[in-house]
Amino acid sequence: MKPLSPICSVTTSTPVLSSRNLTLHFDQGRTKALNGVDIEIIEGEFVAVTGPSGCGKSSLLNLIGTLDQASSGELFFRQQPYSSMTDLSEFRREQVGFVFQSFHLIPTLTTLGNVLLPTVGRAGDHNATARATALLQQMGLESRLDHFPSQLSGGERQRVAIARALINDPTIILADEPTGSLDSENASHVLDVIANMRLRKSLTVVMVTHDPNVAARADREICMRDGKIVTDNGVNL
Amino acid sequence: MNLLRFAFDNLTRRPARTTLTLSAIALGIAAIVALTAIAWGFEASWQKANDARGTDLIVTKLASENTMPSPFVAEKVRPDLLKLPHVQEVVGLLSEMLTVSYDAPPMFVFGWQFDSYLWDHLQLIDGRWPQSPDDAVIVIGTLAAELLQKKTGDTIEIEGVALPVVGIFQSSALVENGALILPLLQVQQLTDKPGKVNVLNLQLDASVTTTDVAHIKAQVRATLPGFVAITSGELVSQNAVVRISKAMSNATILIASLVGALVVFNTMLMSISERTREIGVLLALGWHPRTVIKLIISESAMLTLAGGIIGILLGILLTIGLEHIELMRGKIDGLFSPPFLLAVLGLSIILGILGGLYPAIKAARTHPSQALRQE
Repeated sequence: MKPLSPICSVTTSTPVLSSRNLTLHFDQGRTKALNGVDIEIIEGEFVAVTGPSGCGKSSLLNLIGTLDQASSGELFFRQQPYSSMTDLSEFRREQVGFVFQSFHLIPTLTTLGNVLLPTVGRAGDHNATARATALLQQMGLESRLDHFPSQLSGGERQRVAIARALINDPTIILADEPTGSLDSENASHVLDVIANMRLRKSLTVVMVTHDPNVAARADREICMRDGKIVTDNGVNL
Repeated sequence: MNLLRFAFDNLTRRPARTTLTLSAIALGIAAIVALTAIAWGFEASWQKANDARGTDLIVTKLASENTMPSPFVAEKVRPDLLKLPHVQEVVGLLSEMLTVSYDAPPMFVFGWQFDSYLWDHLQLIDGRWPQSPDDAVIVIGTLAAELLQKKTGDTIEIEGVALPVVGIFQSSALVENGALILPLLQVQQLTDKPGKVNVLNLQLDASVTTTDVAHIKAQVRATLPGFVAITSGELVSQNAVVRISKAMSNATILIASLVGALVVFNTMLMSISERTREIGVLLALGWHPRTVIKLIISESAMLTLAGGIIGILLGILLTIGLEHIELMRGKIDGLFSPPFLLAVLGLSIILGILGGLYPAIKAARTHPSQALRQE
């Protein structure tokens, strides 16, 4: 991996994300995945969302990433209500980078092809390949550009997925159990990459995990239970 | 990252299904190309024969859509036709499709009025021409000679009568090359149709205008009830065999198009169903639903474009193959018009777009979070 540039504090006091009484119901209200979530995430923060399975942490991530729509309540991105956004695809493409537990790389595409996927249909993006190559070099994958996902290790695949999430210089990285499919060594490496990239690119990171050791790498830990936030950095709510 | 390259890779990742779909489309397109080439070739070949003879108008019975126009007594109408303005020659012709050898397919046998202009366009390769209307001899086209394995000096039996082959000729029209020609009187006697012809060929003088031709046509209709004067093109296009061939070709175009669209529809529907999670990933990465539609349509259009190209080549080969089988030789002469082949290619792409449209819209409407949860 290339040496990273000097790290400095990246948080500001401006909330990049906030929500008011956010709910997400399924089965005509019988299942309540989120039940009145109020949250405020400052620009540049590294937030870990923890809690038992089914507590609503992935649902919260999906709502932030506009993969789902809230049943009620409102989410804000830099004070702009999500409900006022006319093109959610553009928001996802330009402001959000997703990292999934099972990588979700396209098997027929090379490492470079996978990283370039979010740039497809992006008007006027002429240096995408150069950016992707540079990102992959920073991830230590410069010798893997033409490899297919099946030719990569789990850790390498997740680093490709991180490069893909970063290709359009997003504001927020949403990582859903990014180390869930990795052994401890690769998990640690991937977390290093996320942490370093967050600092280098002034990213806000929201990471879902059920692993306390992984959560410990974040600045702030939000713990959820039954669709609600129960503690925020150890403080009971 | 190129969308078309991605679409191509998506097709090659499932080679068996892609090959099967390609084969189905290619076969449909091949059937369209072959049947249309044969129908058009049949029409063009007959028109070429009529045009080569230098005939300006053909007078025949109204029931000219028959496979072979109904025979009639020539002298009932010939004198009246000769009186029409601009008419220089009125020449009788009697055609029959006859079996002349047990080991050869039925052949066209033409009876042409002796010493008429009909013979002028033929090129004698070997032997001689008939020397009088009573000369009971045959001249045969080069293809007929090959099919019947006959040469000058051999005999051919027509309707139980053995007649000597006295010459071999070459024509620019395939149907004539595959035919046997005798003086008209001889064919009338052999087929027991004394004085009868299928058509009377009219040669008009050089000063004739299209208005004059229309006037002649109108006069024939008015003065000769039951008869019609038409151009060779009109005669051929009204011919029952030509019309049936064209109807079959049109029906094939319709059926093959429907089957092609359904095959593509089914393939793309299966493909997006298997790739639901992948489409969810693309949407999560910020792909606009329009881009997803473009991807799926690109895949289906690529499939049908490739199927179209293969089908066109297959159709050409199929037609050439049919032209060379014994039964068909000398009867079909496939006509491959470049604009038609381009239209077939265009049709293939349209089928791809139509067949892929619903699956593409369905894919674009995928709910990303549900798709990502799918195993």
